[in-house]
Amino acid sequence: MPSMYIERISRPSLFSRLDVRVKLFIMFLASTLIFVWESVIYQCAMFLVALGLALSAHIGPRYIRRLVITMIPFMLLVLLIHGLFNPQGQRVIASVPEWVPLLGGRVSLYWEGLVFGGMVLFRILTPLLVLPLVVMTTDVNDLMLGLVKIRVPYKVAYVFSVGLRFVPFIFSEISTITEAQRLRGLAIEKMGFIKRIPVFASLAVPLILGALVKAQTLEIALQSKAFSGSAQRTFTNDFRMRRIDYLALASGVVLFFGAILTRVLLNWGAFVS
Amino acid sequence: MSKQILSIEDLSYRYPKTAEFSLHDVSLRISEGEFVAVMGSTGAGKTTLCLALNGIVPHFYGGDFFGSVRVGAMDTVDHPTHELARQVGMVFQDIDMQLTAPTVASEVAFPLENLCFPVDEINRRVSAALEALRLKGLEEKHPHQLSGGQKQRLAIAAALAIRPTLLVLDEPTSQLDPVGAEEVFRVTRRLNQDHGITVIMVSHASEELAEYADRIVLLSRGRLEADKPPSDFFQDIDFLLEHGVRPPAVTAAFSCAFRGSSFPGRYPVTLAEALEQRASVLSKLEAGSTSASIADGPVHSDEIVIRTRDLHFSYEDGTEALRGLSVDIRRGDYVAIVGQNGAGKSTLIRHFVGLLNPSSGAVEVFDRNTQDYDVSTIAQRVGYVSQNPDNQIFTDSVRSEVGYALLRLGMPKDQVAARVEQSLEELDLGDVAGMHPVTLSKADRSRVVIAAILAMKPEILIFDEPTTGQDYQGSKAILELTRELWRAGKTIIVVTHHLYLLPGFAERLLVMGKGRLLSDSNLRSGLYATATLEETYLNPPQLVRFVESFGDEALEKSQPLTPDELALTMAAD
Amino acid sequence: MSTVQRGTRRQITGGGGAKIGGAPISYVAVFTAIVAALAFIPASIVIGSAGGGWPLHDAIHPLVGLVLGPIAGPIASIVGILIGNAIAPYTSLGPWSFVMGGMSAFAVAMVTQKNRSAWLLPWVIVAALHVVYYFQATNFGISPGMWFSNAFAVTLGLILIAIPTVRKFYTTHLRDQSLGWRLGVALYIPFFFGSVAGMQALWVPSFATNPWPAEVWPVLVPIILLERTIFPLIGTLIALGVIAGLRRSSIAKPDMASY
Repeated sequence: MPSMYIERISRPSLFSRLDVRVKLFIMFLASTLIFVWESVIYQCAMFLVALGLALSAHIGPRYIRRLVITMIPFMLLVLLIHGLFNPQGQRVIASVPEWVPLLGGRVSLYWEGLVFGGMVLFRILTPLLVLPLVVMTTDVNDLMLGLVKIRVPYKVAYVFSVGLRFVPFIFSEISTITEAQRLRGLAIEKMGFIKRIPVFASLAVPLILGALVKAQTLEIALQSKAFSGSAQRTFTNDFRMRRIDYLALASGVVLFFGAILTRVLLNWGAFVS
Repeated sequence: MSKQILSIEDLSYRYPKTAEFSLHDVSLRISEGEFVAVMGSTGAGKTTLCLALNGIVPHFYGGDFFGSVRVGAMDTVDHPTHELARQVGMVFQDIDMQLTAPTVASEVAFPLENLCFPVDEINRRVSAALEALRLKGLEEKHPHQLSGGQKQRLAIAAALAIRPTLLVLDEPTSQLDPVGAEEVFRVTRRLNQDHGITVIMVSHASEELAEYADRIVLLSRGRLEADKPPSDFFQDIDFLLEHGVRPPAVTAAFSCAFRGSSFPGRYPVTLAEALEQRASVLSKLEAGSTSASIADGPVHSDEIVIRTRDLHFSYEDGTEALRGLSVDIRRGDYVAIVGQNGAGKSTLIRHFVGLLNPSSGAVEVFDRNTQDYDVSTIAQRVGYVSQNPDNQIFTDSVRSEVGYALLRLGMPKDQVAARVEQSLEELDLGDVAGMHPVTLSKADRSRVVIAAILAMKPEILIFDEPTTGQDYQGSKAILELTRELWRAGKTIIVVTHHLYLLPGFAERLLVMGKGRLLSDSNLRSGLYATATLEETYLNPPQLVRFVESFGDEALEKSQPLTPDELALTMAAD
Repeated sequence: MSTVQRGTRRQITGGGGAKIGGAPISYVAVFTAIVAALAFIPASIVIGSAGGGWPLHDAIHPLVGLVLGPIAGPIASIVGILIGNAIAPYTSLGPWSFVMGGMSAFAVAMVTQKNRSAWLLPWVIVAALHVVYYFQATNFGISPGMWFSNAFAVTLGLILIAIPTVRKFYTTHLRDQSLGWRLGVALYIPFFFGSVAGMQALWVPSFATNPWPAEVWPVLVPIILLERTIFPLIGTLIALGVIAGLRRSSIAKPDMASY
């Protein structure tokens, strides 16, 4: 079972000190620029920048290794499928020998396909890395205030914070419920797929009903703490954009429009192999 | 006369879609600096009363509201809850759901931020509140990383930081272990005495309230039945029991011992008061026989059903939970396992059903190593009732719940039906068999879970904290059920913090501390081994402390455990 | 009650508490946490997911929409998935998974609203995305026939919801207080639509990120069909239990809930 918390990186770094709004903009860049380019080099460069940021922000190599290692089967699959079948494929790297029945001589691995597959991988990895990067280096209260400052309604931002707070709680509920099922003699791990479905369903029912009963309690607690959902409140962690934030934001904006213009006008970042 | 800060006049309240009134013609006044306790059984209206103090009742729930509640100058019906929140600090029973912020410091700051205090002021108050509740140094912790007692103190800190006129605590200790409960009682008392904060506390802890409260209010079926200082409140024991309230053990003992005879003055309600009455007790002791020996439970078989040998267990994070534990449970035992939180009680019993596997050493259940078979197989012979019934109910009727697992285990339908009916009957659930479990009370939902586990016909039944969160009657009912099952031949293992509930039920006591077995004896000598109990932060029952502090050899030797036994030792005239 | 209250009856203005789209914020937060936590529980291993397998939360979004309504439902789903992705990105369905959850919850909430034309909004959005996806796929060299066999479940969902009798059937039985197989069917239809709507919404950005070549498509046909049949089924089973409990308990119903 993975850690139930978002690991907080408390060691300060240049990145972690950036204004939340700048970090959110970087997140926006990471999830849009990947569509602009089709070049593996551009995509790889962007991933390396994200990786560099992550390492500079003291995100443990262990965390990154786990992200990458867990995804290896998927990554191999992507490479293989694109290597074999992508319509870009021209130069043959290897072929299935003639003597193999059915596939012999018909299936080949193409260089361009592999390159395309590689580009796809970076496209997926970059935003997957940047989201935890931003969240792990930011205090939840700061993140909430940052969202409010970019006009996300306070109530929605608050849902993020309080939702996060209760993830470990829901986890322990799930484990007590599955435990209760085993204690009734039900061995889910031994059941076939079809039998497993109703058991899965009966796990979720007490989980959700129980959580809704608890939600009433939460509602009462929130009201007792004078919560009204209004953004008209004090934020003890108020912050302002500093020079470095404006600088980072400006370069981000330049990068964003620059990338689109150069792609459209000069065809930079087109597919290469 | 100090300033009156709360006045409730003829308050009646009914939740929407219900026929009965939860509060009926309740009138109550509280002055600045008072510590007022509220007692009563589940469903007496205690929580509703608390929620009426900051307007959650009626603003959030709706319903029918009569009379008035005034906090300071504010009428709760005319002011919304977020305004009343400035006057009334609330602490609830549920230690998890009332903490809503990601860190300790922001939890305390949260209500102040909502009330638009300036930043400097908030920081000052957060720091002061954490200081007062001894939570300094934990500012950046996630609430999930705190102990139960710390969580509850954090909730109090958050309520306190508002500097409310009134601090309301609704069963703040019922989900805590004895150490945590004591922490909460201690700080609440300090806040009341040293800082003059007015406190309203709902609790079942008679002994503590007798010592701390200025007044105790009794609610029963929504009506205010009594409002007296503790020394008066606990005098009429039959009246209290009738309303589901347990008197302090010494009061019960004195009332038992001196029943019918003329007791000079009033029964003591605290240990100190009881010891002051030494003279009258002594005269009784001399008059009576000192050899009141009360027979322990029936002799059981020698067959060992659970055996652990040098059991060690460490959790993934390296915490050593069990450090070399060897114990035998025999068929027909009724064993209570006690110890502070973290002593390893739950870790131990989880080994009994194979939920955990030893790091070293072995656990044998019915002469087979638990590692050789899985939980679901063991579960059919060893029933394990875990704490919260709501996490163990999977279907939408009591009857189908009891048969739920049997059907999935492939038992023929008619056989399941027979087992279900038998189980329902044993637990007296026949009348509610067709109902949805959510419509039952918590005590009844626990019975449904027990019925479902009984339907598998296990030979051993393990109960993990069955009395936590239950009122006196609920706790008694569950323990009486365990006794019946024991008499029917089941082996019973109960894990609990509530030592005072055990006499009359358990016959063997295992005391655990820091992963080791500190003692294994019969209940009587176990409860009188007070040094061992204190080593694992358990308070011996008040009656035991009384006998020990009393300093009479003969009385100590007879080791009475219940008011009746004490009375017997002191002998009737 | 025959007894008379001594106090005078008070007028209660009611309300209070913060709500999002008619749902108490605490409910939204709790569902958010549930979605985030379920993101870690793999329900099946399929090609579509990024790493560890298809997370179980996929089955829950229709119910989230049904209980919380068309505004709070998608918020809980989206925020929940984002939290899940932030804690453990390797168990997620890739960076775009929040689109799927949000759309599932939204679609179900809208097609079960009392308002008779509410269904049209998600329907039009999904239909539009369906067309976009067609052009995405055919531009990449996927034949129209192959596209159709793959996206068939979505087409089916769109057709089903467009039929007034079908809508009338499930809306009637959803509001009917009885439980049982009729309610099950009445839940399954909108849940199926929600499930395929979410899938369709996910496909567009996913295909832009990673266009699977034509050779892979035939393999995906049975998988997609199986998944889109099974997940709403799990969702329905859960919903039946949850609704049975909700209707009998004192838990207040959110204003835009459809149960």
